[in-house]
Amino acid sequence: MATRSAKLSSAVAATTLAAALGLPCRAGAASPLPWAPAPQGQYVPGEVLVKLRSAPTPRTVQEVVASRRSTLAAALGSRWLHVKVGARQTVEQAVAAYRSDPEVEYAQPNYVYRSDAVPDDPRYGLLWAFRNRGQRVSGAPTQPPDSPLSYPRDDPGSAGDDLDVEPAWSWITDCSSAVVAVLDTGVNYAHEDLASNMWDGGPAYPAHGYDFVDGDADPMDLNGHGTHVAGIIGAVGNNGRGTTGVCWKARIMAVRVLDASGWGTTASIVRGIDFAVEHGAKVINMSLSGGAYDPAYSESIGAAQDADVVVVVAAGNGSSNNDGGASASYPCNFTQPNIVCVAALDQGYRLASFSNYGATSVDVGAPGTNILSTWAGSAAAVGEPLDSGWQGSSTTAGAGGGWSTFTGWGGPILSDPPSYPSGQYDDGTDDRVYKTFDLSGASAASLEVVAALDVEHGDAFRAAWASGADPFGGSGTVLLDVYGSTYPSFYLFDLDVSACAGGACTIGFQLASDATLGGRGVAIAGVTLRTLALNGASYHTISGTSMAAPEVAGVAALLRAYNPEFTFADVVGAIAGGGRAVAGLAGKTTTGKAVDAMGSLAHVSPPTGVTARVR
Amino acid sequence: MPRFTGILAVVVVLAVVSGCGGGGDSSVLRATSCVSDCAADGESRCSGVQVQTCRADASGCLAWSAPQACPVGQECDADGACVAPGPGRPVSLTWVPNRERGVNQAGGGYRVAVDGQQALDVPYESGPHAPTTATVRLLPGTHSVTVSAYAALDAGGGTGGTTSSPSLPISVTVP
Repeated sequence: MATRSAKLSSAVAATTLAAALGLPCRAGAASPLPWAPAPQGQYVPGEVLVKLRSAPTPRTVQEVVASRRSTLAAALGSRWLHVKVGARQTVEQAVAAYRSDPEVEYAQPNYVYRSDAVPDDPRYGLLWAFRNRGQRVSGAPTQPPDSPLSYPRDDPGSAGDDLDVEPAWSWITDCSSAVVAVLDTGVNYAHEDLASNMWDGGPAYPAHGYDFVDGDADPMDLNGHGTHVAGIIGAVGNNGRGTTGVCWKARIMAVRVLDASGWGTTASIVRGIDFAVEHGAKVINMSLSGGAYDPAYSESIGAAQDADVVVVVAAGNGSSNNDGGASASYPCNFTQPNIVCVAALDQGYRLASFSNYGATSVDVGAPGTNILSTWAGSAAAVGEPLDSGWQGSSTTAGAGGGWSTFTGWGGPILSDPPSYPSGQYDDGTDDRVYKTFDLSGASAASLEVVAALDVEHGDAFRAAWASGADPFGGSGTVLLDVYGSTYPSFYLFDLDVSACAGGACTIGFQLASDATLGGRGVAIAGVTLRTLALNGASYHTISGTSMAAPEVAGVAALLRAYNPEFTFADVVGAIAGGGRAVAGLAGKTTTGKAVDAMGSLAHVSPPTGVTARVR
Repeated sequence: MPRFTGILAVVVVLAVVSGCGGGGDSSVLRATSCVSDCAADGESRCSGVQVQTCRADASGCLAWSAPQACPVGQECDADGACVAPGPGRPVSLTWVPNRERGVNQAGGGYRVAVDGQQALDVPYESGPHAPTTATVRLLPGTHSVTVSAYAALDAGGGTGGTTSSPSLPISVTVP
């Protein structure tokens, strides 16, 4: 009994830590950036270029440059001088002064030329979050063919409603000085668009991070979600392949804390945060959420704060208000000042229909629908028919009858007893049903089971797998072992069966009862097998606050890289202060703003600590 | 033994050569060979009618800058600060350096406002930070003083500049 209780508690704990998963190429050498002159009037502050009427001599340089309290930075060609003007003189004043000098033929500002800041990645045109041109994303002919269902509302959206990152790329694209830890389902670190942007963990961590689910140094993504998140932050930009991240160059630390079905525990997440902090991450992205206040989890985020780490988290995908005790979502609702909690905006910059919000708990919004990014491999999802191919057994086969299929609630239902929810299952029975699936070629697999159960204390509903045999015959691995009641609701159980991938896999369900009492039994309304065959060139479009958070984590990394002295408080302040007010976020977030990369990069905080002394 | 001594000699020579601005990689060598000319970053003194400022160089050594003229309309007073001549008392202001890169490079700096009116521009000059001290002359009475920071970048991605909100105002009473 104690064992069963513990298992149920585990299942409940896992439920509260569900990842905030979204609704459900070409090779080429890097090419040089296209260059274009900056808009009129943009030039290097404090510098001018001066062309003398004759070749410069020490005397003319002294007379022309030094006498104006300027300094010679370099000679350009035979008669041009690169001059740094005095600190108390504007460029305009300096140019005017030099032009009036009889020794000077011409003087001009040192104009700024910058990249057009549009990378050559072939799928860049679909990344509306970076440049919203009012393009249609779902159903676009250049979409990867296996991308799942898109978010149809506001597709296309409105031009200009985006992260405003293109202007920021004129100033910085390289975030590699700020390590970003992705705490998620792992990262496919061999992906063509990520491999060169992974954190170098040295000989101790040759696979660029750590796996706290399996307890080894290989954080390979067996789901896809973490690879998608990593690509939003730091898919290699301007490499002629796939997509780009907010950071064209980055150092992504892969920290696997969620399993192949997207579930994690306090223990794995806390250890993941500690690992990231200990190994120098300056930004942590956690696109995951759950409903329970968790002191251990909170303490680890506090430790990250002490280490000056920004933690960007997803608001959650329940369409609910996170404010208030019952609807709180963690880590979003933790109150440490290094947390930035992010809601999802759609292409029209409305709060996405699935996005959580909270006037006191959610900070900002960012693009979170129809987001194209890297994926861990080729994914497939197959809904298994419940009315064929299943074989079963029952030790009683009496009044209850064991497992069978009936049609109800719009489709076939696999239930025990067949009369569910009328009647009761047999006492003292061991009812099994199982089916063998071909998982050859799959690197990972997860099993989604939609079930309603009403199982008495002392009895058990179990799910298990085995390689081609009755999974309850002694050689199987139990995936689920619970009792209790969800009646009349159905519940989604997400189970990791990756250990079974690569060959024939038999998956089964068992209802076992003791000799006393009984319940309504179990009804299974859906069984879906999701498989993943790892490869290094897959991309998917999905939606979720999980996608909005890494947009912001990328901006945080840009800010830290551009401003090396920034503290976590500076980063959080610049994200909030430089954001753009969006009507749909007013009253739904603490700032009412969408993240604006360029606005944050240009944001200047008011000075502090002003003191005066009368002399 | 002779070989060992020789290595020591090389180390000593390196220490001397790298000096304050030698560009060597060893912070130990710099630290042991750095002799600062002045006491505190931002300190200033008069050099005739011009002013010199104590600045840290790339090696962290403090040295007096070359003499510079005070801004137009100001002169170096007895405390080594540029201040506009006229009635009132000089008031030294200090604040905490901003950490934005744009504030601490060419085109960045601070603006001091007194009673809501801009009183002084304190532009970035050199070194790791823009100056965080300034002297204004205030008439007897109570004044509200704020400091704003500015940088060259603007929110449109250009160099039109951005100015922060003013700092929290402080009240300065001049007897």
